[in-house]
Amino acid sequence: MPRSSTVQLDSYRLAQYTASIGCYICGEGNTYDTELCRTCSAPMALAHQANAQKVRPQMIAAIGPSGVGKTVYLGMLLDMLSRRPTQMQMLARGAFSITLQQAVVGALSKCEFPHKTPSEPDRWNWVHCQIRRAQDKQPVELVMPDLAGESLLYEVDHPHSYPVIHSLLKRASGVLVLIDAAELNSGSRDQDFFTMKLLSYLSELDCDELEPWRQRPVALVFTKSDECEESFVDCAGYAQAHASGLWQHCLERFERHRYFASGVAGGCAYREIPGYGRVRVPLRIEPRGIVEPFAWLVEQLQAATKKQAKVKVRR
Amino acid sequence: MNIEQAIFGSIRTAGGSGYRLLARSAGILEADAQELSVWGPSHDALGDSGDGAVSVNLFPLPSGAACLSRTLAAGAECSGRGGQHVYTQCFVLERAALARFAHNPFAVLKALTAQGSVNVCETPAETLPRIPLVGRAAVLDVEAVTQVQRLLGAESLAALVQGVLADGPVGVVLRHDPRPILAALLNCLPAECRGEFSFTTGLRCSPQRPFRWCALSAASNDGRRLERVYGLRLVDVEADNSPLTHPWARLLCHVLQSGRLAELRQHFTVAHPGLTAADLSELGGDLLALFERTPAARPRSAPPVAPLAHVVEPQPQAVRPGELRLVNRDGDRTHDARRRADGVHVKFAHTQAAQQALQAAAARVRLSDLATDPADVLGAVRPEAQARLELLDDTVFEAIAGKAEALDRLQSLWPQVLRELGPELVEESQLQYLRHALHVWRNYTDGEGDAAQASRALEVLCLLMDDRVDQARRA
Repeated sequence: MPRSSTVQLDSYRLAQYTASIGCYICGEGNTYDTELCRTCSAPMALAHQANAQKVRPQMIAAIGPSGVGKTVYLGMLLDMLSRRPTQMQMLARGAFSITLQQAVVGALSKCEFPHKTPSEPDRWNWVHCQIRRAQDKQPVELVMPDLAGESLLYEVDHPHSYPVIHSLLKRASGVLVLIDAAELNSGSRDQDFFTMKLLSYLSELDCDELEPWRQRPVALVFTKSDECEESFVDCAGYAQAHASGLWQHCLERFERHRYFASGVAGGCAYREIPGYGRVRVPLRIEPRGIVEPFAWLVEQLQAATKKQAKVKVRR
Repeated sequence: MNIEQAIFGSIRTAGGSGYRLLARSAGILEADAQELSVWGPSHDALGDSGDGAVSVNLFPLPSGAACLSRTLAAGAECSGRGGQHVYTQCFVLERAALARFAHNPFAVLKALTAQGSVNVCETPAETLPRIPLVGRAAVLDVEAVTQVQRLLGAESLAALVQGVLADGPVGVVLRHDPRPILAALLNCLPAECRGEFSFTTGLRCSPQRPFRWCALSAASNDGRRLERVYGLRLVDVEADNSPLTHPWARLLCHVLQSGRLAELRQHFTVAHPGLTAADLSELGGDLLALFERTPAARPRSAPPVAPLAHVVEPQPQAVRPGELRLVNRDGDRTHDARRRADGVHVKFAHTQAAQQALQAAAARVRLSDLATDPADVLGAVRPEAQARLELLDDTVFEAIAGKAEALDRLQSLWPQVLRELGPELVEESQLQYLRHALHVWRNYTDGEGDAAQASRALEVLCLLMDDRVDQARRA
């Protein structure tokens, strides 16, 4: 006896193509089976998940020049949060959200740093996660991409070259700005200049008048601080002394900003690999100051959400 | 002719780190520079992760020029995080430069390699010099197509052409080195429509780089994902036996199977101003009918110098008084006789002898019989020039083959012929000599050739590229 089965009508399948689905990052329409947005190359899975859960996740961007440590910071943050069930816990949404954590932890466990992030947006890792805090009733839905530093700087110099960066930064609720403390310590001012460029770009973005970038939280994180202990002792003082332009810029342009220091590798060395030359490797993994900037940012986002809810109730 | 160049890569400099346009020559427009940055391949962009991975790429620029780039793995990534540094050298080719090489970027790259302009610079200056580009290319490289025909077979090559002529981006699934195959694909198309096809022989697909042809390795098993994510249409002729329906593909199959590539080359030398890939269906049908009607031409001894690629910019179609036109049997397509590869050289076009030779050639040539030897026309116009070129041919090839007296003779003959005939007449021969000498040298470096012969080839190369000879030529 033949078994009964349910077969999707071709006409129904074709009908799905008529309804376009807006990309969660840039808002442009795509067909239902598109994997990457045709306009900005962001994963369409973000839009599908947001639609399915009927919750609009907030976005946080980790920005900074090439080689500052964005990938290592984000990967380590995700790894630490996913293993902390008490105060703040992270749950990944979608398999793609675990790739970054997997790549970073996999590399560090082999005493290597993860490879450079390609500048092509279709090859970036995106994280969609749920953050649960003990003090909050509702979890926070967050989207965080691991951007390439050179793409960020290129977008800053030539706006609209990377639609995904432009749209993301326009809509992001907060930002983690990463600055290489070791380079600042060496006397180079490149980090200061690059960061000021990024922050100028943010403050000039044509954002929602109700929530301009001036009012959004900005966490300024010194990375590789294990190479300069001074930055751990007094972060703001370190910024004022070594990145005076940035310090002044933030004071003038951003109402809610705070300085942090972080480090992942307790010490680094160079390994000679035949045919490749010198490769920088971590000697041990001693994460410090990884969660604090993120926790502050989430707290600021929650505070802003509550404030907006009160305003709505009053209206 | 000079061309602009740029370098894209990741080298830590005072200006920053990460993948960016590291250096460029002064003549590159700002809009073009931005496009070079957007298309520039970054970390892990080479499909093949081996140390010897190289990709040749071509894409259009906003100014109307095209960028021919060569991407390779050049040592370790500068930030010391492991992985290879992906280094790209870009050459900006104006339309005129490409037209001289019959819109064949592989021929341009060969010429640039021969003159030593293709290299890896670890610490490039911010402003690069412009590069002189010498030489020309045959409108159809019969040898290149024949080699790929031997590799794939006539039907598969024709099927590949059919596949890549379709609209939209195509992923060409290959089991062999993609460079000669893509070069053969371009050679199988008339020069006028080659510019429509951007391509990469080895870069990963990305929306940042919407190439028309992407060579994919059959071993990667990634085709279906690329089809779904990037909208590529996969062409795998070895796995798919779809019939040849496109008239151009059927023409190619016929030409390849009957060994009439030389005749097709003669058809390619006839300019088709404004011809696009969309017109190939009609032109292919016409030519197929023509080839089927006419028997294969009698095999001719191959001339030492390939016909020049007289690809010209589109010009108004109006017939001027006294203008010579070639009309095919159906009378529906006209061709300017002076644009033919075997047409008289422009330098002698005004002489009475030239007019007579041209008229005689036009009278005996029809579309069905275009296999006129360029030497015939030159011989009719200037028999002494033809004799000098033949003497030069003999001397150069004998010198490379190992005759010591030929090399001595060449040292005086080469500047003498240059002075007498002028650079325009000698340029094509010079390119052929360079190619032959380079071929001998490569054979040696591949472990197949003889060291003494390679050394003689180098001596001939040095002589032909000598600056003092250039000065004599200018004088």
